[in-house]
Amino acid sequence: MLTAIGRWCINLTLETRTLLHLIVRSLSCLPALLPGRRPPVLRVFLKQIYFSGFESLRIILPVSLAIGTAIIAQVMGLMGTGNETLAAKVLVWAVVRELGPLLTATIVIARSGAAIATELGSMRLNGEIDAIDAIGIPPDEYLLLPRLAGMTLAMAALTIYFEAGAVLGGILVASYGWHIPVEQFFQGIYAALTLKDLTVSLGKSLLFGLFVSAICSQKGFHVSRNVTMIPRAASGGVMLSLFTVFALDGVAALLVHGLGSN
Amino acid sequence: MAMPAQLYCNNLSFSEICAPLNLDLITGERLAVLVADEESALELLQTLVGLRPPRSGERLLFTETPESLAPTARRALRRRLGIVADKVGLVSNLTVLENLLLPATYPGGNLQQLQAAALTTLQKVGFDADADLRPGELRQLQKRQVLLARALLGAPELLLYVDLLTGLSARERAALLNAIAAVGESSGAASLFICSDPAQAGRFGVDVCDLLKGENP
Repeated sequence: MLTAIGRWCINLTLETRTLLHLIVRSLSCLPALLPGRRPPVLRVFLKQIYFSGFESLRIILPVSLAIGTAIIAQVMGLMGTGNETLAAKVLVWAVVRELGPLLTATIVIARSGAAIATELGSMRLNGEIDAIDAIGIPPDEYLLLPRLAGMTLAMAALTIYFEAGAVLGGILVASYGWHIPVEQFFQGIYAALTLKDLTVSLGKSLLFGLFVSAICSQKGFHVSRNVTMIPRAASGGVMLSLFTVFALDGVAALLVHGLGSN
Repeated sequence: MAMPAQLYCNNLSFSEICAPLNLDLITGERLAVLVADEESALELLQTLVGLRPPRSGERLLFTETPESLAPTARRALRRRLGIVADKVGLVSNLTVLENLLLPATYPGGNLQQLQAAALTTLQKVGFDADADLRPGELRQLQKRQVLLARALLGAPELLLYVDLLTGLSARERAALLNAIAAVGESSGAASLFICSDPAQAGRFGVDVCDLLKGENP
């Protein structure tokens, strides 16, 4: 038992070190994204934003509306009418502080994270990564950097859309379902929403985006010459990303709302 | 004064089953090397371009040892090469045109000019399909034509071909060899044909060194 725990800890440490090394390596190439420096890198970066950010909106928006609706329905069901301001506050706290970054990350992991691991794994298997290196193009700069930067920015943007969508869903259901005046609901939202909450939410989404893209890229990059490794890389990337996102969220909640309130 | 070798190998060992390679390839010179199998051909290519260190011996690429260079300088050295090899193939998620432009536009440059040059080069090598297709939609000959065009577009000083004719019909082989004769030779670059199929090695019209028999130029 102790041996197993020790082995797990060692593996986790080694994997974290490799991951941080990959992040540092990629971010050290950041100047390549400046206009005119490396046009192909900028093109991959924009494609990544389109794929992870824009195309995911079709999933993010309906989910966010549904979540906002569900939260308000639960809160109003529990408290009844007359507590509209509190209902709005609960919505903001739940969505901006926790659910927004967390659910957005979960959706992005399932969609784009798996796609990144599969694409890079397939490129590794077909020798395309070696080929890119052989024609004088650094794989870190051309393949990793745009994926990390693109997904990180897309995650932040999607989190904002998710939170806005959930609040909108809450407003709609409160207004049509319980006939609460929109102005009254907005007062509760304004009262609950702080700059700190927004900053923490944005910071978390950036952190999640960076780690998810790095984990999935790393899994794809390390596919060996065996086709069965591609689905393993994809599922491994998804599972480790989920674990990391929930762990980071717990640590962030503890630091910001737990330890910080004492 | 003697011309500096584009590629110099001194007792270069790259595979367990092939004899070491001795080579002194200068500008405009063309030579074929016959190795044991496809794996050996890839090992030789990777060793020559510095993707793997030699087992033993010495190899100089444009008078430099790739391993001794910083990564940036090593990649700059590789950009002086043209590689036509299935194993150093096309990027599957890019179109034919994007594949051609990838190495050419990477350091920057005028995209429109390069695009026009890329399309002209494609025509010269006999590529007759749509440049917006992806590699998965191309026939074997078309893939090799695109690889050749990509290599030529960078105005290489040394062209490395690996198993160029393998898997092609007689008509396709002739088409590809004609394209190389028309475009490749006029570039003035040195050429090394690495081949693992004895039946194909003699088709390039150049001297062949059979490394299985320990022959060297």
